[in-house]
Amino acid sequence: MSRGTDNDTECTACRALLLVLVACVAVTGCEADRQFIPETIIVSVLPDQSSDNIPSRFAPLIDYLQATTGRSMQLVMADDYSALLQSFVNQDVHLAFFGGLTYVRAEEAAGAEPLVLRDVDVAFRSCYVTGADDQRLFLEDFEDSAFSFGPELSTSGHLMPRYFMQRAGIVPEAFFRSVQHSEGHDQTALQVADSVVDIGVMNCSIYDELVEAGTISDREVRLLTKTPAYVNYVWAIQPAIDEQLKRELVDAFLALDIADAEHEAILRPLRAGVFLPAGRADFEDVRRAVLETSDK
Amino acid sequence: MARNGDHSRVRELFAYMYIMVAGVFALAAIVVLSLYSMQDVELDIRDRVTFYHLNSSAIAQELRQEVRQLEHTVFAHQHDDSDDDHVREMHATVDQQVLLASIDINVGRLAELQARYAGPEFVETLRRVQSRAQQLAGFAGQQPTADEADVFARSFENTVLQLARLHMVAAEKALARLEDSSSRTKPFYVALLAFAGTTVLIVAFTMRLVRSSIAREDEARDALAQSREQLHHMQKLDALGQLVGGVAHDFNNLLTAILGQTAQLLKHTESDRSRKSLEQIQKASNQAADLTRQLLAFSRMQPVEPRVFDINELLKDMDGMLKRMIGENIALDMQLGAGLPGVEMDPTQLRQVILNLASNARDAMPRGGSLKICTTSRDLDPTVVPGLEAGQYVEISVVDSGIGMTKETRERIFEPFFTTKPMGRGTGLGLSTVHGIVKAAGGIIEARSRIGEGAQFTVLLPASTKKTDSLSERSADKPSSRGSETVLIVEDEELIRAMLKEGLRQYGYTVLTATNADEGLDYCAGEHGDIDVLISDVIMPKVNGAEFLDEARRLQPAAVCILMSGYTDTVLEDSGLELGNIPLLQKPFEIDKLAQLVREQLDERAGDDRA
Repeated sequence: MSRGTDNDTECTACRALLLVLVACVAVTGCEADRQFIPETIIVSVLPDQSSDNIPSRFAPLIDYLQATTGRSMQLVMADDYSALLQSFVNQDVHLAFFGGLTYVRAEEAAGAEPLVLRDVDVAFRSCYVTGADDQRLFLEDFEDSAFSFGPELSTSGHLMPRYFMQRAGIVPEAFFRSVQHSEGHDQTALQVADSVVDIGVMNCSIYDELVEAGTISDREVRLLTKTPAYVNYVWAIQPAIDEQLKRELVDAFLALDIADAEHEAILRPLRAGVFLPAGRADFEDVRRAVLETSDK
Repeated sequence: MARNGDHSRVRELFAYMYIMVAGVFALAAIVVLSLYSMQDVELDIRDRVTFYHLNSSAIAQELRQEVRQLEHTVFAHQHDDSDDDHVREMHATVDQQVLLASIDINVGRLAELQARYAGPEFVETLRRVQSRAQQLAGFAGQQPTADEADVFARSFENTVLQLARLHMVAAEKALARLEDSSSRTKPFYVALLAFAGTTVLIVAFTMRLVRSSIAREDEARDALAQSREQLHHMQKLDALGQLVGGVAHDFNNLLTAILGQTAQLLKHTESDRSRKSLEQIQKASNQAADLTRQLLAFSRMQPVEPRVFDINELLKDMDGMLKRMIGENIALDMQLGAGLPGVEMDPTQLRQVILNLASNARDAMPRGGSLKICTTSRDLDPTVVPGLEAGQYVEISVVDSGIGMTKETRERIFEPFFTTKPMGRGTGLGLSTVHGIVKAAGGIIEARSRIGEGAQFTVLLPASTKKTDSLSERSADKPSSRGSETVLIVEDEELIRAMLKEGLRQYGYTVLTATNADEGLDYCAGEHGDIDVLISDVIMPKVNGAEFLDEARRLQPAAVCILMSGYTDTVLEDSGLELGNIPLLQKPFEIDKLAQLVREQLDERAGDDRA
């Protein structure tokens, strides 16, 4: 009788010990998912302008990356910012060119890993534009005017301008007579040119591009002011992609040299001088902006 | 056997526990050590990352400036206003050489740093930096245009910037990994430590429980062994008492006869020489009777006259006697507790106890010393003194400063005939008598002593709730014992029968004798007329004294009855005899005493008749 009880006690003790060990292993044992190399690397980019231009701008880069890494790649276009984000989270897209805000969202939702960014992205700015004949010189003068942001998920067209305005004590919805969101940065410029709104804020890079291309002229719109610099845009990849492939991609990006004529043909349409390695810490400003503006 | 088994089980249990504790401690030690080493590794990686990142960034920054400077010198020398081509070229060459050398050194430093610390992600970029640096030497010598120089310098600068940022990102990743791994492993170690700690606590607690239960078991075992020993000792003393009592009883009968016959002879003998001899016989017989009385006291068969009295009063009375007995070189100190309850026993016996203890103390202090007698009252718990009922007791301590005694002596000290005194000095009955008296009174006596440290005898006597008598009462003058009534004596012992017949006749009584109950009953029923006094021995063959008196009283209802025995009434009652309220005369006795008792009984009857 008593021997049986002893054995039972021993068994219970053993089971308790086992349970503790299992729990300990469970705490430690959450190892990363298996890494993979997709047959075709699906690439997508942020539709920050009318999508007609985009494939042609990115085609040389895709070709170059395919040639350098020896992997087949396919560029797919997203309908809008949230569609890009969704397809990345669904793992339908492996490599994506995100804006600051979409990257931060992708990182939160799918652990997106930043690879490289352009030299211009390190000190990016947003431009406030107004009608060429408007005489007002400061943003503060535009109280009760009609105002336009870019798309809601745009970093340069919405998040960062709102963040900086908020820090300057301006709540757009209260300050302006009306606040609207355009579907792309070029549209914002056109709305200002057409006097649909009195003032708009947009991606400076695209503003320069539009002026250069003659889509808008300085007789229609005028650059009022720029926001402080922040980090925007980044090439990011699925975290589960093979590390070796990630390194090959980064090396390929970094090898692009403006001094090389072929490379210049790739870099120029992307408005890049050089690609620089990107880290998660680069987007601290954007994260802070997301936090502070989402409080409202 | 069982005890050995228990011990080996306990030992086994302890062995398991020690192994377990050792294991747990080893585990805890490993955990702590690995935590420390983990921390070391973590710090090491942190330091390396910071050091590497800072260094590489600084070097890259320096490189960028040098490259930019180089670009400027190339541009500047192209616009050098100096007339002398040779001088111009020399200027350019010197400045460029210095910068080139510096760039070379910095690239070398970067390469060295990378070789020691960096991972594969740097390989490609550093290779480009190195190749640019190599190209730079040739490029500078070719006198490029400002545009060419600008493009080259920008490209070089970009590569260096890439390298700097690679370091930054790598550092960030390394630190994130560290944070991640430590945040993952910490709960594991915390759980492990908590587990180890709990196990240690449980084991320690169990060990304490086991230890205390073993200690309790040992205590109980010791107590049991002690009380067994005491019981054994008491049984031994009881057996000795039985034996001694039996012998003393028979001896008493003989002494009764000797004393009686001697008394008869003395009355009839005129010769001085013969009288002297007879007196010697009487004296010796009396001493022998004393001895048997002591033996009977030890065996608790001595006739007693219990009374309730105050011990302190008795001790105060004895003060002078004690001082005379112990002599001048022993100081007597009596510390008598106030408000003592009375005790119920024969005061003479208690005197005997005190005198015995005091004389023993005196013998233990041949060169003088102190004798202390203390009394106090105590409420006893039955667990304190085995063999005693709970209740109130009076304690008498007799403490001497004598030579003390060994353990062996102390254990045998109450045995009859055990003595440490030289031949002829002691009977060996003193303390055994004391023991018998105390035990008969429902008390206990204990001896505590060590060689050289004196001895302490403690007597515990149960307190009585009855009112105490004064010791100085009962000294009424005895009336004359003479009479002329008819007495029938039934006694199977011939010598005693004859002695009693002769003795009572001296007092004027008419004496009839019978050797047994049947004979006695014949007298009662016969024509000898009324018998006034029926005296019978208790223990007789066939019909005992009590039964005989029952029968006889039916025939002679007016007769008064007296029983005689060598045993005490308690012993007789214990053996199932019904004595009723018949007075019992304890053998041996002198004839005067019997005559006195007969007279008392007859007078009492007369008094009843008058009433």
